[in-house]
Amino acid sequence: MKLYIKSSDCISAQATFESGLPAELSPAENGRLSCLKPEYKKYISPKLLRRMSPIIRNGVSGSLSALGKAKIDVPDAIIIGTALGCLKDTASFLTQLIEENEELPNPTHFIQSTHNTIAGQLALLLKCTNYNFTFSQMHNSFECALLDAQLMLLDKQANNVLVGGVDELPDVSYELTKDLECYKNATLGEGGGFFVLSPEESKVEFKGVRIINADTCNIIDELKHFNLRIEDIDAVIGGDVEENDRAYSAFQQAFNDKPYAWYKPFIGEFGTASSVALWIAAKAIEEQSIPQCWLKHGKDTNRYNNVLVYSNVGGEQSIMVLSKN
Amino acid sequence: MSELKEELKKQLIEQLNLEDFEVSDIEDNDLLFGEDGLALDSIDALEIIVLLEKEYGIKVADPKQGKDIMTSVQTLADFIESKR
Repeated sequence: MKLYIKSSDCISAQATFESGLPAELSPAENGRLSCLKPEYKKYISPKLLRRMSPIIRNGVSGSLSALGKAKIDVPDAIIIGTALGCLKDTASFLTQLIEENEELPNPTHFIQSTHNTIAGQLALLLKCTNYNFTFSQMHNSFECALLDAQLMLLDKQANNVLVGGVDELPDVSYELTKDLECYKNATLGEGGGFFVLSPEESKVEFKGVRIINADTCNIIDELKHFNLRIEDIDAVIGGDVEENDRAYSAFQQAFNDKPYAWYKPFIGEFGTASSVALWIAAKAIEEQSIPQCWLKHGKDTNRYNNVLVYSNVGGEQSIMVLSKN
Repeated sequence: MSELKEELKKQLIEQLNLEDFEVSDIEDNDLLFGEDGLALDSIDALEIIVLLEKEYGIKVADPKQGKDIMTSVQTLADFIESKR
């Protein structure tokens, strides 16, 4: 059975929401890349919005936009990946606990601090009592969600699945991440990609996702799982954070003559950044174009049949493949 | 009393993230709960109980009291005054 990306949307530091691939990109400000805020009230009532932290607002708006494009009111499953979950509410809750000697924490921060708040809010908003799951596996959180969606659809447990990856960067985690020297060479960011997967035909076929539990990635072998060879790949979306990112150098060499897009210098590094990469790949196929500003190497060929997404953060690796239908 | 009510309105807006409200938008006798007033819900009720304890040192010991105390800013202020 073939699976397809029926619709998608992306919220990031660039003008990606309800849009195609932007042809112009804004640089980071103060060493970080914060999301451009969509018009949340289009998707969420002000009564609910007032309680939602940025990750919940973005997760719900992005998901509802993807569902709207797919003309689906209630999906058969809601599966969200988030590496660090609702950090802003968690930080507020923990700070209050410390400052007030473990007395009188505000209930809202506590209620909204769990990782599954985004998927839970979606279920409440859509009155969706179907399968609802949240994966939190650091840099493979989105990939785990995607894999679960893929298995559900192939197993015919669902006919359409809403799957997304989202993370936020509140001030407290920005400061902590800097202090701990995580992601040394990367600009920190936030955002997410949201998709409706289905066996119903659309322009973009979802060939699959592979989480690579090994120190290295033999791309020739990995592509064999999709019945593809290196020469079949028309473009690569890599997770490089800088010009000479060692984690990607060998991989990049294998695709030396192909358009090679990167995105982390424009949307930032975060646990589910690969969800944005998948959105870029889907748009490249839909539009048969990748604006030059996204390309680290090569030129836009306007011919994209197979697009490969590769992610490697500290050895946590994955590949995702999309094809033109 | 009017100072207390102004203070309460500010605290409610801040604590409950009533982003679209100004102090002047809330009348003393506007209903806090129900569709006709501020349309607050049960989580807000919890937040108000925490606010009363944190800001005024008042515990709402009897949950049955809550409905009468939290009818409006006026009833909240009356309750606080009665405990002072």
